[in-house]
Amino acid sequence: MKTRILIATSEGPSEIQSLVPEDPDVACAVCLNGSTEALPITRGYHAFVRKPTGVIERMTGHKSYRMDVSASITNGESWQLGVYLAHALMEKNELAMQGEAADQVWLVTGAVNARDEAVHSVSHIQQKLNYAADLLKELKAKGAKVGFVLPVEDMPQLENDFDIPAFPVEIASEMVTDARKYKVPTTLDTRKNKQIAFGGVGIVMLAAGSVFAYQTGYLNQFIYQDRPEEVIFAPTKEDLEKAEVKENITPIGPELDSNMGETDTIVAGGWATLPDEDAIASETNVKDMVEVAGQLPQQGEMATQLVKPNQLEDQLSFQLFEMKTADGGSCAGRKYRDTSLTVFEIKAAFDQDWQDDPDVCGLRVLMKNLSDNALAFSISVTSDNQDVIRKRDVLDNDKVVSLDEGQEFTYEMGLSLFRSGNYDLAIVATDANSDVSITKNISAIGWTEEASAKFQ
Amino acid sequence: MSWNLLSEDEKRRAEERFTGLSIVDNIRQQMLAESRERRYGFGDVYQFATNAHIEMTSGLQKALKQDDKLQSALDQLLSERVVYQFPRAAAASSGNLESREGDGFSIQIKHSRAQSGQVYIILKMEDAFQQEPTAITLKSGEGQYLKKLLPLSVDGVFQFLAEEDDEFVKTLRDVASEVFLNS
Repeated sequence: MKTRILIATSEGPSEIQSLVPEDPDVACAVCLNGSTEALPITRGYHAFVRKPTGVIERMTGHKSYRMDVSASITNGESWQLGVYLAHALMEKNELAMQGEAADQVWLVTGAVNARDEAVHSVSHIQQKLNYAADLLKELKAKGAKVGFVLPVEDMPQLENDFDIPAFPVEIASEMVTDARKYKVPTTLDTRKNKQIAFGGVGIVMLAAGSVFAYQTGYLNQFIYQDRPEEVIFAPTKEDLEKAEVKENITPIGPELDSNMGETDTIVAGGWATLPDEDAIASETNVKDMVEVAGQLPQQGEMATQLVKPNQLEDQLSFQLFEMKTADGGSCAGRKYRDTSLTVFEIKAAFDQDWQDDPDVCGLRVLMKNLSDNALAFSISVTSDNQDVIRKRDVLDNDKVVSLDEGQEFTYEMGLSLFRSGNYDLAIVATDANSDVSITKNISAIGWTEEASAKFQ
Repeated sequence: MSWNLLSEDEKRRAEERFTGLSIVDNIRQQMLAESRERRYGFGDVYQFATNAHIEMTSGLQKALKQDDKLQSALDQLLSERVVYQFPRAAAASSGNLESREGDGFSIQIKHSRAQSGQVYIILKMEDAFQQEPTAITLKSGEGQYLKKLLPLSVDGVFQFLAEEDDEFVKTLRDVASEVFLNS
């Protein structure tokens, strides 16, 4: 059975026409319709394929591919789930390439976390479906099985009545496993046996039946115990030999970094992923993982790190605003036009894609002390592109801010007129007393040529 | 004859005639300006050598062929303003080159497995250079100049695709051609 993958974009569906392994010396490329035109997502695709950042090489063992698509995919990360599924299907010779008959067609959108293959929310779900509706209906009328694959979190965005089944996905690899059996369920919540939810935080999965088996009750003990430094689970050598560790071990550090704090001693680059599903790890595996984590194999010590709930999370609120010129013109020469800046709130912009535009002169973050006490914290902003933030407009990093109860603080950063492409910003507030921190991420999508042309 | 002595009809006809003559004159001036050949000078070669976005035009190419001084000026500018200049391929080399090695740089041409007839041009920077190139300029053995903008690098590697029969690829493979990496 062959499946055709269509990447849902906000400008219409783009079919994955071919996926071909290239010489390992060649960087991965995404091209349009077999031409030599490399699409803007090429760099992102390369990173998505290659170790250590990528997931595809981990899955297939090969590190270079060329993918051809039928329509341009310009930016964002919502292509990742479709590409992931296409690679997985190709490995089983089940991907319908251009010219091949397909038994089913999936319109896919969703971002994939390279670390644990969790599927992340994306935006414009309904718009993407609307653009693909005619094509899907046509395919369906011709007898093809048609489905819309999307992140679990994005189900509420759906309001369609297209009579096309939606397949919400939580973990990409499990979607693949299931898809290979051709029993795509309506929900995929298979993580529940592997992950313990605590305060909205995903915590490391470890198999039951050993000292590694965390139970919610135990976690609660850790949280509330009076002497958190006590080592509760120090596994013996025998315990290690008995331990089963399944794949997809979620790194503790990054998960905790924004929610729990106190990660420095736990994580040095995340935990290793074990090779096969349901594989039983040897003692060496476990020790390797522990070495990677830079921590002794004493779960109690790890738990010690977990006992400090991130109070800052509840005490400090963040709001994000765009600053645009009041006259609607370009940011360049604004002062000479004697126009002021107008501030617009960006709804739910943190940890989601935000469309940057050339008329955005800067960003403003409004922080408010929601607690009953005074708060002292330091603020820093980092970006993966050093040319994005106008240095002269930014407060010194690590500036310490003190806010009384209910008091607000405004942090403004001017954006460079010459920025281009996608970039990420991370705003980190660190409690001056406990070193607990909150990170607010902004994933900016670079502006389009049309938007840029307006100011040229 | 005085304007005031003309009848209204004569005035109207005279105005129409003047307007017509004026239009003809304008068109003639425009045609003359267009037929006059543009003169290319140092400013043009400077722009080509220093601005990655300025492409070679047929007019400038023609001017370079006719003016040795202009060509020398361009060659000198290219040599002075480049991030890196690949040496000419070894004299013993013959036929088509599939790679060029430089001091800290290398260029490889690799066939695409996915699309026959297309090649990857892979430029690797092996050392930490202070300035990344933004364009690659070729000078063929016949004195033709070709330029391509480079994509953003990934881990010090610039890669782009081209048709194998593209003039740029043919020139890059030619042992007689020179390669400049422009800032």
